[in-house]
Amino acid sequence: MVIHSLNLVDFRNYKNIDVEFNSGINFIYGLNGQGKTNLIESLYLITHLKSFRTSKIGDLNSFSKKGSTVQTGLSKQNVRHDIRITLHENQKKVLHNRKIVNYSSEYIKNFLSLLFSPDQLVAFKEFPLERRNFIDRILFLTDEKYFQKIKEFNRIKKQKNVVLRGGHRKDLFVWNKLLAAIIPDIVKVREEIVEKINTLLPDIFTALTGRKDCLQFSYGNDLKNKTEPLPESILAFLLTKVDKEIGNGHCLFGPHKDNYWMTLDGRKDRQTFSQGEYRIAYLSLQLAMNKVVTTVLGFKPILLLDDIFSELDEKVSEKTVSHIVERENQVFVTSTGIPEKFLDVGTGICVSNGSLSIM
Amino acid sequence: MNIPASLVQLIDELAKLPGIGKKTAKRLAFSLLLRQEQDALDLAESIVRARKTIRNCICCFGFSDLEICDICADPRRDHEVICVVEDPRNIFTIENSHVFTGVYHVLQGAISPLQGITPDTLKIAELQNRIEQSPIQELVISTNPTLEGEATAHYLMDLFKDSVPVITRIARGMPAGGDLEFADSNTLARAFEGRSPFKTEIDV
Repeated sequence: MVIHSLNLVDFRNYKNIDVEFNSGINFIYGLNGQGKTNLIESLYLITHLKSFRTSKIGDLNSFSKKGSTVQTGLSKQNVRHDIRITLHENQKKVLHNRKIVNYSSEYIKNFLSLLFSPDQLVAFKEFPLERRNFIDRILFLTDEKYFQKIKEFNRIKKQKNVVLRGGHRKDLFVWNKLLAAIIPDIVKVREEIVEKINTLLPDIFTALTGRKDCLQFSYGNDLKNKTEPLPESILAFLLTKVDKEIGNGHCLFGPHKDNYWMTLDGRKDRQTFSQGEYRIAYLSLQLAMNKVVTTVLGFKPILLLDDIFSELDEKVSEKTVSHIVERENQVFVTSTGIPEKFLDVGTGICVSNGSLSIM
Repeated sequence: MNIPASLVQLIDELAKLPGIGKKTAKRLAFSLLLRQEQDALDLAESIVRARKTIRNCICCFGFSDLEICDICADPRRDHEVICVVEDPRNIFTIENSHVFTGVYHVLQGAISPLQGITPDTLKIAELQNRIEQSPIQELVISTNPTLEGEATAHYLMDLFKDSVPVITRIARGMPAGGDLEFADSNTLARAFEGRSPFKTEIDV
């Protein structure tokens, strides 16, 4: 997928800009506070219909005006798409090929961008929920059945929570039964994607660092050491935990407590990775995911790499750029300095106080 | 001009009905006033009469103007097969299709703790009594194929597995005369899970 053109009106610090992008690598550079991340944010908005920096749509409007528009022409698998997103106070209206989009969940199945940003990195490192969401977002896109299963699982969990809070012991059985029936399907899909990622991850990490230690992505299935992955065993296990769950008033066991983490030659990320190692590992994970989704979806997602050079040392930055060149995704990279040595593999776009100039 | 109070009341009452918004309620109210007076009075009378005479059958909890409904009172029907439905409306739908010759039991809803509906608020104890008093051969669970309908089906299944010889669940999947292209992926997935050996009516 390639974003050809972008028009921003009253979006963050941009009054009115028109820009055409390179279908390969776009280096967006400029001093602090000039609007580099705002540009990345607008591109993320196009694929996710939300921001990675704020949950309030109103924050995206420029300070002076009330409404803003993001308009873009992109192509995916040889088909052109026109997208126009209007943000007004806390409402957004999306036109996809001049037709109103009623369901964001349907729209975002069409497009994908993978984001590396310092904020995202911290959230990923700190919160298991962020890690589950990262994997789920990809799975929703590639596996419709999984999407339905998660929707159903969440509904069952919600119903069960009400029963738990009310302490209605005898009404609990049926909800535990439904949970036990659906959990193995969810776990299986999660195991499969982790397996796929792991066939690619060590090579990418080695390519970026030149190091030989083996980077692996691990899936911590909450029920793994507690029960067999079969509905009957899960049900039997859940029945032994009824008192505990009633005491807490909510579901304590299941895929909503699953976790993911990374290891380097068996060392666990949070405890033993250095800051730098974590960054590279996270970037490697994104790039492995890029390969996985490209195979499944049949198109290459857009890579948004915000502030990547200040996060990585020079050697890794160079290797990352050459890895990306090989993958042929459309990429947007931001940095404060002019990435002179890379300009021959892409286009430089200079951002200065809300205006853009192509170098 | 202020709208007369009685008209406002009529609009508000109509707007309480399912599928009727404020605008439609207004249109209906004005239409009732613009028609012949007798039409409106007939409607009012039919509402009163229906509400006064129709009650729940004491046996199946379907709608009836007698204490026991026509279906429950009919000796030609198979009283050893009970079809469990969520809603009295479902009886009319199934009856229209002429596929079922047993009797019914209306639960008056499906288990949904989020909406405050538990097994105790449904007519499940009544079903249990009914089966204890006159044992049956088959229980056909025809609750809706929603999560809540499914939960109710599981609940009934566990409750009656020792007292009813055969418990069945209506099949889910493709609608007859339907087009594959119009089925959503969830329905299709269910249809594939529940596929059965192909049989012809005539063995050659």
